[in-house]
Amino acid sequence: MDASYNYEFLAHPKIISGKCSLENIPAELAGYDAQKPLVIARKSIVQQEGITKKFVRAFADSMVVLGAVYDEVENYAGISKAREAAFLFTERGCDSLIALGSGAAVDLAKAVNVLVSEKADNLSAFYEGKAIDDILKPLLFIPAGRTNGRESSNTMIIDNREIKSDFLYPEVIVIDPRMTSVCRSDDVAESAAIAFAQSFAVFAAKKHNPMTAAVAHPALSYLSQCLEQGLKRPKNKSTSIALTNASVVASIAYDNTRPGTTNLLAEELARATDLSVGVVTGMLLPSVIELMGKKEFPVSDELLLAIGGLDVYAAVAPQDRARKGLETALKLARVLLSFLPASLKELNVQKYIFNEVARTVAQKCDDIFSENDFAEILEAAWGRRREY
Amino acid sequence: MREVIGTNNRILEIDLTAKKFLESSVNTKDRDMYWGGKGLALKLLYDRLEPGVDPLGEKNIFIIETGVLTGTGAPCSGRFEVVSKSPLTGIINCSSCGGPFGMAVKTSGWDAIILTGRAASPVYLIIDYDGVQFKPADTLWGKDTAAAEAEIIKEGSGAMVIGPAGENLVRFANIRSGHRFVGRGGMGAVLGAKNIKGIVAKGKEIKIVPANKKLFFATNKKFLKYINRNFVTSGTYRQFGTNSATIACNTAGTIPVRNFTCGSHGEVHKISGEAMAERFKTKWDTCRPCAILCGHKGTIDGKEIHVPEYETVHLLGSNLEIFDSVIISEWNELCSQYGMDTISVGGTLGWAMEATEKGLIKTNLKFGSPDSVAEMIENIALGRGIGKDLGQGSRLAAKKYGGEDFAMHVKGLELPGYEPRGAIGHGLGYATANRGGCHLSSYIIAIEVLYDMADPYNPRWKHYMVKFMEDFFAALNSMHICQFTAYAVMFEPPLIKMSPFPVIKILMQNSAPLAMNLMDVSLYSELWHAVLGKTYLPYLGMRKFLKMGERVHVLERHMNTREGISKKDDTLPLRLLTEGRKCDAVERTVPLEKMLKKYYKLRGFDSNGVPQRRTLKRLGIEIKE
Repeated sequence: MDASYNYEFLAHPKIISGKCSLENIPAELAGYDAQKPLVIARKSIVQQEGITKKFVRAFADSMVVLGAVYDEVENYAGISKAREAAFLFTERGCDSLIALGSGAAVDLAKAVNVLVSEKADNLSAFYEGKAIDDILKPLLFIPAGRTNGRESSNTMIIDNREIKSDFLYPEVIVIDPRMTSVCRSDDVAESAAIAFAQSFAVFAAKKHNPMTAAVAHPALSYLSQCLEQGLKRPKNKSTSIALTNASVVASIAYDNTRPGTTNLLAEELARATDLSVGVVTGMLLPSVIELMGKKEFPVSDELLLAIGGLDVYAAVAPQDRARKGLETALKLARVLLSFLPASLKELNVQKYIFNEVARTVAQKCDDIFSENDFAEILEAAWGRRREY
Repeated sequence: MREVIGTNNRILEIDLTAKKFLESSVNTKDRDMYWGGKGLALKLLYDRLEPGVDPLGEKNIFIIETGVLTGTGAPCSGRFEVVSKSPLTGIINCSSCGGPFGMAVKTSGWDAIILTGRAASPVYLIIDYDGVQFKPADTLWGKDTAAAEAEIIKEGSGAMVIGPAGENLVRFANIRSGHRFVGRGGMGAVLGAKNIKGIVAKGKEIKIVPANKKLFFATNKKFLKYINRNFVTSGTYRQFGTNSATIACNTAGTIPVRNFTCGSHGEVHKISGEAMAERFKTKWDTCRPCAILCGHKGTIDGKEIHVPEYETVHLLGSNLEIFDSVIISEWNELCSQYGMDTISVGGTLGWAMEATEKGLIKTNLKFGSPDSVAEMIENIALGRGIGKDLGQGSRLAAKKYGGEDFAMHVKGLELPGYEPRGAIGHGLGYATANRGGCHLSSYIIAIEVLYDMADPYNPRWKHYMVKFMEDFFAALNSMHICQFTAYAVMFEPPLIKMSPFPVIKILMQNSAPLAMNLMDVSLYSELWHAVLGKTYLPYLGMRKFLKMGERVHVLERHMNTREGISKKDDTLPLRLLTEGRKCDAVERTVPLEKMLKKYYKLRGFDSNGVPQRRTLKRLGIEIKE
């Protein structure tokens, strides 16, 4: 049997993207027999002018009543806030959840969902490996602002602990340009960096998975077409919806592949330095791609197709496509880097932590990279000069 | 005995790897710009330490610096400063101690000791006028601080030692000298990583003589008079120690209760300074020379104990909902024996109790219950079980197990015993303190609560007060003289002393720069000039003094920014910024952002909290690329 038929792929969330897609929410909720959602939103998103108004307006003339809006979410998702929101959910008799924003808001919504559905007071049993074994309340996710690449996945990170379950996927993801265009340039750069690293990991995976590649393909296409424009004009509705789509589909594709080098390294470095994962990802990407080029790492030809497009792909000889794919990826990573700090040195990241970070990542990742390679990537990202 | 006029100006640089030492001298420019103590130690470190080194690695540098006043007999001057990169915070840490080691170093003929490298096996050092001897510490390794100090003190007049916590690299291990401690930032772990169990200085080899004796003794006399007539330095502190602030802080809602979820408690009177004085029949037991006498010892069932300080009482007491002074004193003794900072121990245990309650970790710790606490303190010190992770401090423990929103630290250093939602200026002080969650960097709570001179909930001028006090205390720590003397000196100028209190309060609230500049702290400057025999211009004394303090503070900040510190780190635990307290009639949080912006502008930092080049240039700080 052809090796390309040997794969696993799970894509749960339904995606509704486009103008006025918010107005579909009542119908979607009705499909789950839900009428009273608890909205969990990031404080920074709700504070932006007009966002709440636009959001609430979407429910006009519907049978849906908003149970409550819990907007106490900052950058960190912890059990304390989850318990508060779960209490609100029960008190107000809610039957579903809407996560508005990204990152911690979605993690918190997932945690609340587990607490209320499993009637638990805390998540300690799940940290210790207890499986979530039943369908949870319907969860809708509306991306807005900076994403962390996990929102559309089956993962939640609460109190820095990762819990995975296929029941944690949002049921519906609603991508509406009124919500996606609330970013600043640095938010766009960070979200794009994560989406780029995730979809790049799909094409760099040792084992080719045609389905993940098919899903990651549009993510990279959107990025290559809209990144520069999106970074310069973050409030532009058409580019912001394209980049949000890239983030969402990249996340779904990544969920079905092995963890990528850049992502693992960035997560570990961010944990050690308290820097944002997005910033670190963007800064590490060029160094990872350069090292892959140097080591002639066999990436999939489709990388070139996704970033360069059909014309470029067709114009390159088949044996050169992998190399050319890495070159175009590097070019795109450099565009991203021009909106981020040039080097880890510029951020005064302490070099002594590199060895520990490299060691930890090497233990998690059985890729072709060794601990020394990881250290080399970090060193390169530390000493990089801004030249583009 | 040799006589030295002014100060020694000799630095002992010890290479632990090569077991060699060399003598160098303090250059005149550095002495004039950084004075001594904290300031000069920071400058020595700035010249030697490259950014980004591992605090527990061989390349970290450990500096002990005395002050110009040490050994002169000036009141409250028997102190020394330890400066190094902290394993708890990953940034520069300065920690001051009133133990006998400082005096012994100074009278051994040295102003500073610099330790570099790492000894191949455990050693202790003997310092005398001629240099250093390396002695094997195999038999001392594993001994508690009291036993180890008792052993090595036979070879000198002042010693400092680490306990098992320092040997086990607990990130908040401290260093003992007499019954005082180099408490904060894990300096004990830095020594442990260098395989140094202790250092003993022979002392009494030289006599320090002030260059301008007449001016020195006249100023000294005035200084003592001020101390002896101030109601804090000669009253409450002398009678009840630092814990005398308990009742006032409880009334103001600034006591940490239940891991900083509340600011006052009905049972706090049981652990107040007054209650402890009565219960333990306390007597003075202080640093030498000291005129304030805030340190106390007492007895429990016939056994002598050191009465815990305010911070210990509240971090190991009210913060854990324990209101039994005997139990708190026992835990204090336990931490002392193992060599651990009681503030960080209490802060980390507070986090652990809440994390247990919320199902993040499994321990037997519980708010209000003393069971298992002593056992956990031992586990932390000896690196057993979950104690090993708790020994990394609340920041790293929360990164591993979660609960970052209630890990009460700033830049990794656990918060001391003041709850800033009851005094927001103090919150700004925590956020901007160079070494992390430190109350001593600006101690605005004295203005907001203890002296009731400014509205504790009004952010107006708090940025100015914080900056002024930071500069002032940085200068004091460079003298090097006890910060508590500030109470006695600041309010002595006639204009402040004679003005009705409500007038001062209104002035402080509405025009803090004017009010604070009515204070005159030039007495300190006068002492420094008298010891070194430098020309002293009284009207320039206070300006020069504060500018030197500013230089020291900004230099430390500059060094920290090279280690990655920026605005993102000048913050408070999420709980203090976002959660109102249920015990308050009106729920309040700390409006940090507003105050921070003004503070940066006043300091000459950019919007990311990094000192601007022109600020460094104005203060004469050399910029190293």
